[in-house]
Amino acid sequence: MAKPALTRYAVDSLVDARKYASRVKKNTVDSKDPKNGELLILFDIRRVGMPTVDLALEFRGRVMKAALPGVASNLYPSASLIWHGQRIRCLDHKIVHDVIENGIVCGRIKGWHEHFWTEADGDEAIRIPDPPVKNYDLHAIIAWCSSKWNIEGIEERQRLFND
Amino acid sequence: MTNDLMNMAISKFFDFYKSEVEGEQIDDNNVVLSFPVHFSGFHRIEVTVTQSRPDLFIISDGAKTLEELRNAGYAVESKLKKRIVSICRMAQIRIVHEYLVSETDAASLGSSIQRFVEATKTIGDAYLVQRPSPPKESNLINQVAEFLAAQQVPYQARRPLQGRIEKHVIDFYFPPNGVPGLALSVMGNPSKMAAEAWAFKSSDIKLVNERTKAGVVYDDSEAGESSKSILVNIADVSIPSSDIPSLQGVLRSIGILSHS
Repeated sequence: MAKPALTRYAVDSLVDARKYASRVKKNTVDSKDPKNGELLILFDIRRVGMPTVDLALEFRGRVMKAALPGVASNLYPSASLIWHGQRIRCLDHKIVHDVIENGIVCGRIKGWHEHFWTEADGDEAIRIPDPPVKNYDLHAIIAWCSSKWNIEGIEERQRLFND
Repeated sequence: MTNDLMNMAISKFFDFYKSEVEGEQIDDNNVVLSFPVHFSGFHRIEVTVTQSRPDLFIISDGAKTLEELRNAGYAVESKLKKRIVSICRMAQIRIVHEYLVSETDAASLGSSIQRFVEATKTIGDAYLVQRPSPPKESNLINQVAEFLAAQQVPYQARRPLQGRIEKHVIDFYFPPNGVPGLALSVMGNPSKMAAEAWAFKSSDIKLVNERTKAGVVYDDSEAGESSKSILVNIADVSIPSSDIPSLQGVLRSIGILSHS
C-alpha cells in the first residue's frame, strides 16, 4: 500500500505535468490587516484531467507585510510547491545561499534562487532562476512560479476568491 | 607547539568565519548579516542589525525563523509559539509580531549577535532537522478515484444519499440511468465496527433506492476475517484493495461501463 519514497524522477515529472489550482485553501494576499502580518496564498494543486485525485500537492506563496517599527524592511516574498509535506520546489531570496551537490558545497548564489528536490540533497539543492526574477512583488513571484512549474489558473482562482 | 596549534586553529577559524559572513547595507542605520549557520533547505541565518540610537542596537531576524518553520510545514500556532518563546527568553529575545527581536548596547553587540544566532539555530535544530518523512500511505479513495478517472466513468463524489432512516454520504455514486445505480464506499480501515456500520448504511440506502446497488472497496491488508465476512456477504459489490482493477468487470456487468 505504501508508495515508494520521493524520487527526483517522480518530482520532476510532477512539476513538468500540466496542473491547475483546484481550490484556494487560504488567501490573504490583498488583506489590509492580515493575521500575523503575513500575506499568504495557499492552493490545492491537481493534474489537468484528474480533478478528483488528491495529489497532496500544495502551492504556497507568502510575504511578510508588517515591518518591525524602527527597523528597515528587506522583506522578499517566497513561493513553494509542497508534495506530501516535502518542499519540492521553492523560489526565494537570501543574501547568499551555498550551492550543494551531493552534500558538498560547490558554489554560491546571491539573491534569488530556485530550490529543486533531489534524492541526495533533498530541498537544499538550488540553481539560478531561469528566466531571471525581475519583479519582486508577491504577484510577480506567483506568476513566475506558476509559469515555471506548470500550474494554470492561479490568478483566475485568486480573482474569483476575492470577488 | 601546542600554543602554536591553538593559535593557528583559532586564527584559521576566524579567517574562515570572517570570509563567510556576508552583509548587505540597507541604509545608514540598518545592515543584514548572513552567517554560515544553516536552517533546513541549507538557508543561512540572516540577522538585521539596526542602530536606533547611538548606543542602542536592535537585532532582529526579519521574521525568517518562523517563516522557515512554516515553509517546512509547521503550523506555528499558540502551542508551538509558546515553546519558541521559552527558548527565546533564555537568550533575552522577544517575539514581536513574527519577528525575533533583541536589544543591546554597543559594548555587548558582538555577544548579543552570537546569542541571537545561537537561539535561532536552536529553534531551527529543534524543529527543522531533516525529517525523513516518506510520502504518506497512499489514500485508498485516491486510488479508486484514479482508477475511475482512467476508465472515464462519470460519478458523483461525496454525494449525500437519503436512506429510510437517515442521510448517508457516499464516496462514489453512480446514479441509476437505464441501468442500476451503484453507491460505492471506500473503507481504508475496515474494523468490525466500521463494517457493521457500513452494513447498516447500505441496507438503509437500499430500502429507499431500490435500483441502487451497494458496493464497497476495502483495504484487505487491514481487514479481519469477521469484517471481510460482513463486507463480502452483505455488499452487492465487494472489492479488496489488492484487486481494484476487478472493479472494471463489475462496472461492466452492472452496465455502468459499456462493453465496447
